[in-house]
Amino acid sequence: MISVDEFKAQLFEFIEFMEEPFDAKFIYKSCIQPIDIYRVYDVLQQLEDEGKIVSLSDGRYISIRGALRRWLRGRLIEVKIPDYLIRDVEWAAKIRPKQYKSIDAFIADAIRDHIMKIKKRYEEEVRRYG
Amino acid sequence: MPKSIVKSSQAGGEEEGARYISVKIPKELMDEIDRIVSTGMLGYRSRMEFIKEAIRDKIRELRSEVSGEKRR
Repeated sequence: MISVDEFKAQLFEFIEFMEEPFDAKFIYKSCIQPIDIYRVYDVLQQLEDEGKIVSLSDGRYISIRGALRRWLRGRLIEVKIPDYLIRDVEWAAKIRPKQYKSIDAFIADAIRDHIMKIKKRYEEEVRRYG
Repeated sequence: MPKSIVKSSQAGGEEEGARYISVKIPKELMDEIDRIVSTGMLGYRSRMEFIKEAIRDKIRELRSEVSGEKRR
């Protein structure tokens, strides 16, 4: 019979990257080895106490990582950038490795700066020409 | 740096034969770009036009910073 710690480690490995919520019955049915459903409930409770998963109001659970990935997916939009520009971005990221940890971070920063500049330029033009 | 090449052709100018790489941008920045483009602020016609100019601008800035550092 598998030990509780081993079962907990295996269960967590199974659900850590899962972006869909799951319940104890789903885990129970997914187990290859026979396991008591109450043990599943116990281990889920332990993982929740350890802050690795959260329980939803409908009796289902989701891993913290899964919840974050789900949340981030709704807040990031994919755009396609020509590779000749990406090559320049890679050069820039090498020059300032601490400042720009990824291509995405560099581009987001470039956009943020550009928005500020554009707004400033626009306000100046409105002031000058009305 | 993770990247994924998604497309390999586009006609016209410097875009000809360009390959495309997917990057993820926060939604709030994209909303702001859309607002600027839709108001016609300073003549931007599309998101991509804005994003490309933003990148070029930042690279230019960095290049001049680096050349200034070298001169010192």
